[in-house]
Amino acid sequence: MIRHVLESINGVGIFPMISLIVFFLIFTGVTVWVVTMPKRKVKHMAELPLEDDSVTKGE
Amino acid sequence: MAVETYYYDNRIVRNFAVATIVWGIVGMLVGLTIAIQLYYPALNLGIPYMTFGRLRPLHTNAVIFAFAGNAIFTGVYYSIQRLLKARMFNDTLSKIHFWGWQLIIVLAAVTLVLGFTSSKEYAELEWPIDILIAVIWVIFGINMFGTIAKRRERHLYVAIWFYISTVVTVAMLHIVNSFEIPVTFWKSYSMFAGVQDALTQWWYGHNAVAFFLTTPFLGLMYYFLPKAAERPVFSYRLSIVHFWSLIFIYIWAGPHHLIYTSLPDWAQSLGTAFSIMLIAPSWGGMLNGLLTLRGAWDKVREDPILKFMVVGVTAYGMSTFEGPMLSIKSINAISHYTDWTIAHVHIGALGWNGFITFGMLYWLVPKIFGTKLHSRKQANFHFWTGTLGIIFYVLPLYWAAFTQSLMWKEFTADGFLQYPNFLETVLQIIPMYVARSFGGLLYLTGVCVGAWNLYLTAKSGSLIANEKAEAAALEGPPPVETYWHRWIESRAGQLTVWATVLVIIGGAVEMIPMYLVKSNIPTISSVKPYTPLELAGRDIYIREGCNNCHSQMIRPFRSETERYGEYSKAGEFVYDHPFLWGSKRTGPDLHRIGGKYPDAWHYNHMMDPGKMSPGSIMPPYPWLLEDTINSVDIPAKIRAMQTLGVPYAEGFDQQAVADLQAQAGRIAANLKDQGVTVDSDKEIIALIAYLQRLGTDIKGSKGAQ
Repeated sequence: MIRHVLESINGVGIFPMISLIVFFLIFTGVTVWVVTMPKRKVKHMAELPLEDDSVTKGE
Repeated sequence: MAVETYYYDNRIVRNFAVATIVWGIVGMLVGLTIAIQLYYPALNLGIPYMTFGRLRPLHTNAVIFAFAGNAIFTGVYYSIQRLLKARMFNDTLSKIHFWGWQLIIVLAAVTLVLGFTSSKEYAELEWPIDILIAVIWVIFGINMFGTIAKRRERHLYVAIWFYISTVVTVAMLHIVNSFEIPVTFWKSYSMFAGVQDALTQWWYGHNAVAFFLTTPFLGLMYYFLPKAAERPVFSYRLSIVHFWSLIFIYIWAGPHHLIYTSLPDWAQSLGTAFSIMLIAPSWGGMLNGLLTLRGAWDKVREDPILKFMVVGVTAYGMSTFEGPMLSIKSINAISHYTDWTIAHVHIGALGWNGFITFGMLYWLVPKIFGTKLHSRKQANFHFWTGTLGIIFYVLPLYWAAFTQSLMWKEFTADGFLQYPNFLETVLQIIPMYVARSFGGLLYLTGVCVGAWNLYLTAKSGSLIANEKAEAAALEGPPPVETYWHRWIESRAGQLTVWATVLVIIGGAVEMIPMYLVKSNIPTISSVKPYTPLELAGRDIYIREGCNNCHSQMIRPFRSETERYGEYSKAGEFVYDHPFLWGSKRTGPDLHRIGGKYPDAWHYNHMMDPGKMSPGSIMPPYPWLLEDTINSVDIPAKIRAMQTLGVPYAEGFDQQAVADLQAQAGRIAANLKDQGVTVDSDKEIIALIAYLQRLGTDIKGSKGAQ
């Protein structure tokens, strides 16, 4: 029954392929991007949440 | 560069924090009430509005959208201003967002107890409120993107990415799952039916967990954990990989809620595969959180805030390991429909969402009131009662789940069910329900102490409504970086759009085949639309929230076909707008209940379940015997169904009421033969008609009357 349902959709096999490729590309892209990020910038970004304490003064 | 002075809006943060605590206590109190009702049904005081079926959606909606929702907004409004070095985009929008959200909560509380419900889990609210939610959510989005646009910090910290994905994805999920045809102001029918409705609902339901209870709280974790630990996150690079892999895997995992149902196998397998993959990013995030505390564990011993966060993040790790395990077919076969699911979500809700929220509040309330936490001792008390509460909550439920599931599946040597009476398996686990409610009480006690502590903290200081800050304006070209990084980062808006497109593709790839299947779901020629009386009965079933305790989906196991009858087929649900498969069997499955008992049995059972099944924990529904069937809306309901493609004959809406009365007359006469005298216009007649129809279409001639 389920096989019949599957086969009756035109080109259903392409859907899982699309999902796999999309995911693979994004994962690879992000990894490359993250690895090539300059160290100075990573440090700056990581410290963003700690910054406001030193900048702000209570009213 | 010129240094600018500006002010952070702390009043909006305070407002959301107050709402978090108030709704948290309300939502948990409702939860405790229904937990007790499971072994003491009389706690509903015989009031329709207090029955388990109506309060359970109220509990889930209150803790998800009121408690966790307001907690998210508290943290987002606090952190985003500081991370972007800017005041919120527009104070009026902030206010509309706040009051609009509280209005939604109040409307939800009122309509849910009145029985105005779509029946779809965590999306029960009816269409006018759905529209209001969409409007308020968009206002929140505008306010957030507006703030991002006027920021004084070039780089967007990873927490903000989590917030953006939350805003965008929740909007999409909410809108798609709310496709419905209004019948009256407080009644609508889901656009989808049966299998398609189920897939849409659990695509929504699963991603509500992902994008309402996970991504925003990870954003909070990435901001408040470094704050509390006074050191940056363990690995910022890991946090980025965590973000992207999490959002793209999550969107696929929805079908794992429908394993062994009539959903086609390929969709189930897709759900399982992506759920198992989810372990990687989830644990990446958990480890990133915990490792942030490297070299600071001595602080954890001292600081209740860090204690809350450590246990919260650990609970995140536990439930994100458990989730994928529950997606494996053989484990799901045991866990599904049992209290295991309830235990699983409460590790997440009480441990992860609850403890991150309280950790955040203990950190933030003293800050915005310019004071110190009133009592560290009380905060520690809250932490320990909360932690013990979670343990006392989940362990009995795990025990209950295993016990009951094994009893359901137990056969005698001769091949009969060992426990053919469902009730026997319920009575066995009643002590576990008692223990669970004790755990809930402990947790709630801790929350109340916490609320008191935070109140005294606020009282000891005064609200710094507008907190002064200074930062340089964002001007000039960005610093020299590698070409690609600059190229990507200077296109944040486009990036958001593309990420959204990809997430939509994720949903579409999963669901489009299912919509295409529509014409291909093996049609069963004997499956016919409901009669007007059955439709009225079905709406009563929905109103009373029967689906909160009874499934209508028999899985293809011998233990289930022996107990309930033939397993459920996809083609049987083609006229079910909405689907009513349910997700928990507090009572037995009802898909093949039709024809199993005489009409009089149902009459007496609804009047007093304990009379027909001694020891039953189902509450009585005496008002169904008194109240009159609403037949005024029947023509409109038939027309709505016709719009949705249900093949009623042209002009049937005008004959529907007469048809309804005729069938009701037959059932009343039948009841009279069985010794029950009741007027044919009572709601019980419609409900009996529906129950007797359930699952009978494929039984051949032995069908509905």
